[in-house]
Parts: sequence; C-alpha cells; structure tokens
Amino acid sequence: MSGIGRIQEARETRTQGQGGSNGVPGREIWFRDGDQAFLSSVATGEEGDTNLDDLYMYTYNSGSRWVNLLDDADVDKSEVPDNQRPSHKFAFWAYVHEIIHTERRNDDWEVVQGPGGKKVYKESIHDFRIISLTFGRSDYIWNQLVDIYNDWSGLNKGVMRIKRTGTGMFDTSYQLAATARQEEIPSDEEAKIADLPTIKEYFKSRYGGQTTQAPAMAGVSTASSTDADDLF
Amino acid sequence: MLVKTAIDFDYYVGQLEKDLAHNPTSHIVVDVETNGLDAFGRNQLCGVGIGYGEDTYYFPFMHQQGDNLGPTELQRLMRCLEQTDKLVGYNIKFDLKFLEKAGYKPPEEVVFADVIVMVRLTEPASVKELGLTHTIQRVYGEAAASYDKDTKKELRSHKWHKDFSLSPPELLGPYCEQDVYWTHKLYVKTLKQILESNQVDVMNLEFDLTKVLYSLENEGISIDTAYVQDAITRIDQRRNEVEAKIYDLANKEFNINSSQQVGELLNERGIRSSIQTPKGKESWSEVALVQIDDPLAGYIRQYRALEKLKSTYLEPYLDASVMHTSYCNWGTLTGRLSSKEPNLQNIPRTHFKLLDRELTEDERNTVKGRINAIIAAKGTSAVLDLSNHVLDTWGFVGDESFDPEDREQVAMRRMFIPRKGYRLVSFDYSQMEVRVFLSYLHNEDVDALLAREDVDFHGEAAKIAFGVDESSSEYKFYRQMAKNITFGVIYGIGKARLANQLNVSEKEAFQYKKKYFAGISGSKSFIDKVSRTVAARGWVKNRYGRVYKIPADLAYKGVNYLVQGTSADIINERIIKIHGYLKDKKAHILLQVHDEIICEIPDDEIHSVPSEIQKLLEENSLGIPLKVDVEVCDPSWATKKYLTDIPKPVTIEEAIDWD
Repeated sequence: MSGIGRIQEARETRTQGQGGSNGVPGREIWFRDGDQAFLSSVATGEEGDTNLDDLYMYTYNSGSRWVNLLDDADVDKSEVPDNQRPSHKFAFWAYVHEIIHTERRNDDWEVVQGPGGKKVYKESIHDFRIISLTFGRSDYIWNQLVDIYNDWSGLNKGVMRIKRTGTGMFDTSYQLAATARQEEIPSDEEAKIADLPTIKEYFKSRYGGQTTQAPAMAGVSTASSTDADDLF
Repeated sequence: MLVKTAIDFDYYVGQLEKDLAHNPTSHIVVDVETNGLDAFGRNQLCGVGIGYGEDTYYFPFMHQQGDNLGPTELQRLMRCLEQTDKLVGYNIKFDLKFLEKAGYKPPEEVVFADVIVMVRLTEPASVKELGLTHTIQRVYGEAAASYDKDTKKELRSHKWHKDFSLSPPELLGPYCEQDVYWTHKLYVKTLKQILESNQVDVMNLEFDLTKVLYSLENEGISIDTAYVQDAITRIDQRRNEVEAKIYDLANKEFNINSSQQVGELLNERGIRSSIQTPKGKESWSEVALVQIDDPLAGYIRQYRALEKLKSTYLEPYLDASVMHTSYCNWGTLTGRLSSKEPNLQNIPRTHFKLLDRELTEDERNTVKGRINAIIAAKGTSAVLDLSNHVLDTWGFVGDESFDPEDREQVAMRRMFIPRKGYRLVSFDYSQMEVRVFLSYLHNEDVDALLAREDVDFHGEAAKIAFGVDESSSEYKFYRQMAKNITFGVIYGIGKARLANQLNVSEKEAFQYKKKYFAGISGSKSFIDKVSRTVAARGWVKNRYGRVYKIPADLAYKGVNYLVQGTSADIINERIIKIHGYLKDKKAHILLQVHDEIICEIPDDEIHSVPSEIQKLLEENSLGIPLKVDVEVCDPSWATKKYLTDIPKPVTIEEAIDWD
C-alpha cells in the first residue's frame, strides 16, 4: 500500500542516504546543478498506488565504489558498515517530457532562449522514468510534493517541474512545482503504464543485493554523472 | 447480371473501367448487401450491386453458399468505384461505410447523391415514410415493390433474414439489382422534379452535407464506459429503492412494467385514467400517470423513467468506447437533421437526482409547467391540482447544472467525453429560430434589434407589444407572454394550447395575441401571407429555396416550416463551411443536435480554432445577424464552462525557472 497519506504518516512516526545495482537498467533521473525536469506523474498519490512508494537505502563507500543497497528484510546487509544509517527516500514513476540543462553536453539538445538572451538546452526524454529523492531537511522536498498533490487533488493532474540547484552536500536543494503546461502522456504510451514494475519491485531488483559497480545508465538522462548526487 | 466468376468479372468491370475513363462524370448507382447493420463492428458486406447506364450487376464476395468473387476482384471493384465523380445510392451513407471497410477510398471531389434526400425534397409534407420499398410503392404502385416482399419472405423461410450472407447469390443478387434499378429510376425522376421546382441549390447543399455527416458518423464520439457502468449501478440501486416504496404504498408486490397490473392497482385505489387507448381502454401511459394525484403514480413514473434511462442511453454503450450515431438529412420535412442509434435530440440535457427530496415552491411551479407541457404535447389540456407530495416525486429530474462530484446525480451527457489531448467545444446558436422569424417580418425596428449585441428579444417584444418595461412589476409576466406567443406562432400552436401555456382563458389568450400582432408590425401580415400562399398554390419555399408542399388544411404549419427550415438550412450551410475550414486542422466536428454543434478540438488549437468557427457560424448567406455561444464541455458534454476559463497553453519558455 502506498499513497501520499500513508507515506506522510510513516514519515511522521519515523524520521530519519547509493551506486550499486544488480545489472538492472537504471530508470531513475539523476539531476545535475541547474537541471530541471518537466514530467507528468504516473503516480496518483492515492491509496494503493504502487507507482509511488517510500523506501530506505544504504549508501556507502566500499573501496573505490559507491554502493546502494535497499534496506529490506530480504536483502543481505552484512556488508553494510556498522555506523551506516539508511536514508529514507520516496520515489515515483513519471512520464518525463524533457530535461532542461544549463550546459550543452550533447549536440542533440535544443537551444531554448529565455529572457535577456539567457540560453538553456532541452533534452527530449519522452519516456517513463523514476524520480527518486530524499525527503530533505525537515521534509522540505517531500512537502513540496504534498503541496502539489493538494493543489491538484492528485499527482497526475498536470505537468510538474523538478529543479536541482547546487552541487554539494551542503548547498544542494530541490524545488518541485506545479506548472500550467498542458502536456499529457501520449495515448500510445499510456498502454505501457500497466507494464511498469512497482516502485518496490524496481528497487528490489536493482538495489536488492549483489552490489556491483553501477553500470552506465542505459537510456537514462545524462543529467548527472554519479548517483551520489542524489544524496542531496 | 449476377457476376460470379473471375472471367465474367474481368469482362464486365473491364468495360465499366474503360467507359468511366472516358466519361468520369457518369454516375454509378450502388447498393450493398451485408450480414448485419453494424458497419463499425463485426458486420461486413456480402455483395455489391452496381448500376451503370441501363445495366445492373451483382458481385458476390462473402456469401456462405454459392460462388463468390475473390479479394482481388473486390479491390478492383473498389478502384473502379473511385473512378466516378458521383455515386448514387438510397441512404448512401450506410453503403459507403461498408464500401470503405472493404477498401473504397472516396475521392476528394466525389459527390454522394442520396436519393432518399431527393425524395424528401420532392414529396409532400404528408409523406412520412421514405424507405425505398414504401417509396417505390407510393410512386410506381404496389406491384413494383413486390420483389422486396417476395425475397424477404424467401429469406425468412430459410432463416436467412438476419444474416443475408447465409443466402445464395442467386437469391440476393437479383434482389440487390432491383434495389439498384429502382434507386436509379427514382434518381432520374426526382432530379427532374428538383430541376423543375428550382431546388438544385438545396439539393447540392444536401449532397455536400451528406459527405460531412458521413465524416461525422465515421469519427464518432468517445464514451466513458467506466461512467456508464457506474451510472447503471447507481440507477439500479435507486430503482430498487423506488420499487420498495411502490410496493410499500401499494401494500403488495406487482409487475410495475405491466400497464394492466398498474391499471388494476390504481383502479382498486379509486383512480380512473383520463386518457384512453385507441381501443377505448384506460391508458396508464406517462401522460396519464402525470395527471394522477397519488404519489404511487408518481413513483411508478419515476421507476419507468429510471428504467428507460438505463436501457436506452446507458446499456447500449457499456462495451462501446466510441459511439457512431446515424444522421438523417432526410428525417424531417423542414430540413432539420435527425439522428438515430441514438437519437441525439432525445438525450436529456438535464441531470437526474437519485434520491427523494422536497421541492421548493419555484421547483414545484417548474414541475407544473413540465406536466402541462407533457399534456399539451399530446394535444390535450387539463387543469391540475396536484398535491405537493405528488409533485415532489418529480424531484429526480434535475436541471442542466450537473455536478460531476455529486454521487446522487447522473447525467446522460456525462458519458460523452473528448479523446485524450482534445476538448469538446459547444457552439450553440442563441435564439436562432426567433431571429429567423423576425427576419421574415421586414420591420425596421425589429431589424435594428437583430443587429444589437446581447438583445433580449422576448423582453423587447414585451415592451413593444404590451407597453411595459423592466421597472414594471408585470414585466416578467409580459415577457413570458411575448415569449410564448412568439414560439406559439413559430410552432403553429392553437389558441387552446396557448391558453394552457399562459394559464389564461382562450379568450384572454386571443386578446394577448391580438395585442402582440398589433405591436410587432409585420408579424400578422407574414403569417397571413404564408397561409394565403399555401391556400393558393399549395407550397411555400424557405429562404434557401427548399419547397414545402402543404395541404390547405395544414396551412398554419407553413410559418413553422419556413422558420425551422431556414434555420436548419443555415446550420447545414455553416456546418459544411466549418468542415471545409477544419480540413487542415486536427479539430473536427463531432455532433450536431438542435441548434448546437459539438467539435473536438486539440489543446494546441483550443485558443485559435473556436473563434474562427464561431465567426463562420455567425456568417450566413442570408445576412441574418446570428449569435453563437461558445462553451467548453469539460470534462464531458454534461458540464460547460466559458472558453475564457480554459488557461492558455504555457510554452516551455514560460514554464522554465530562469532564476
């Protein structure tokens, strides 16, 4: 069981953050400083919605690599350092229309000119991706999602924008906002929703043990270089 | 000629192809035989009848017995049909759907000449039945249509009548060729009559309209099947509650759907019906039940209404994600469109409340008006004094303000939704018939009113005819009076019905009407002129040249035909224009019902296309100032909001956080 209400409740009763995978292709969006993604949530936020969930993840350095491990009863956590505490995260499926970057790292990205001649670069995604974020200090990231849910009476009622600002542990912040854009999930893509794994299934298959070097994010936005960024 | 071998097919169709190559303007008469009526479902054609010149052919393709031609021949025949500039048929849209399903691709400029439409243009007002067999019988005598009766008898005797493909081509072929033959004969005859009556422009308008309607029917409108299921469940629940109330009031269980049992029960309660069946028995129809001052009758009527809502408007669409209605541009004498499966005109505008409630005094007065209208529609009148608790059984009929969040409400229009990424937009002519009526008066003051923005014609008519203004305490009364008289004139209602509507004596109604005619200069002379013309020559023609042949005893209907017919032809003319305008757009027309046109417009055209459509609708070749209200039906046809309430699309530049 998921839903905005249940996660909110769980967060209130238990307050409390990476690069391992099981070779399962990553579907998460990793943000860099200044990146902003425009997306239509697949998750509704209603009770029973398996496209939104919360989870606990251990992220620790093991030699030369970062390891992400799901904190789950079925997962072997014997290699997790004793002093590690899992980070509480929430994640949801979304149809990502595009990601706006402040730097052009790919020739295919389209230039978008803003006020005062300011340029950004649009990377078209048009695919289903997972947005996975920590709750943030005093739940400020999560609360922004709850605000959108309350404004729209659901998470899947419009296009939301998620923007990352900052590069490091202490200066990174995320802004989640409802926008007035009217893009929807294309009809021919909607049929794929039924085939998406639940959030729990995805994280369990990707971060449920057998820690390995994180593979290249096949088909995933180049929005970030390391999963470690998501710590912030 | 039954063409059932590839060699014969090659010979005859080869000749036809050669001829058409030299004479593309030659018309082909076509008629298809199918294994059912549902072109959008599993049914398909089993053979095609063709008429060219004096020759008729039948090509069997999917008969379950006898010889059939193959898919190669079918495709060659379709290409051959595409060579002609004019296809002639009887109710041709039906044939076209099956032909297109078989691969026919209508050329851009092809004319679909529907002979049933031509028959409508030439037959008198008294002719109601326009089916091919009836028309052949009426025009050429009973014997001419005997092939139809004989073939259908044969089909029934073998139980092939529900699926013609079960029959051999030797039976169905000659039958189909006869249909083609008579269709052609009627085409030639009616075309001559249309030329003689100078109705060519109206005929061409109708042919263009046929193409547009064909496109509308193919497009269809999306159905929210989840809502349909949910509404059925809730209606069932409410019907069960009403059923329990009825048994409780009756102190026994009985078959509520049985008029006989209902009659016996009401008789036991000392209630007699004021209405009789044609056989002289007491009637317990709706018009009888509405007059009975007993809540039992009220709940029986409510029970029946709930059943009808479910069986007529919901159950047929449980498994249909798209509804394809069938438009009949030959269905009314005036030229107004009618439709079937479903009849869009009959889909209630109001919502229904699934609970008991006590009505306000205003609501009870509205109910009394509804009851009067039901009684008046049956040509009778009655002075009713119904108790409040009987009037309150009407509480299930809501108004047009549907609240989709209210689980106690259901609306039939709620099941019609736009496709994803589109919105339904309603374009509704405001007071169209009144405007057309007034344009006939040639009264300068009235013409000036017509040219004004947002004019309240009924209020203005009250001021002119009865000398009242908004400050008068009687203004509302006289405005309603003027409204009823105006519509009374347009619809040709008699003084008894007008008196009933106005709740005054016939003498008083006559006096008010006289005052109205004296005030609205030109109104009486227009009506008199129409009556005189009908009496003198037996026909009048509307502003588009559509001819109405009216028997002298029905002369009073002339005004109605002219006003409704001109209004209808304005819509017909405009809908063709809009269809042309939308050719290079994603938006399209979905429905036409009453004076309303519903279009499906994509989000990226929602702030540009509606204003153009509105402009095209308000223009007309007659120069009558018309006004069209534009509303967005969001999220369904049941809920309307102003277009200005729809936010303009936000560009990516506007959505980016530039800080």
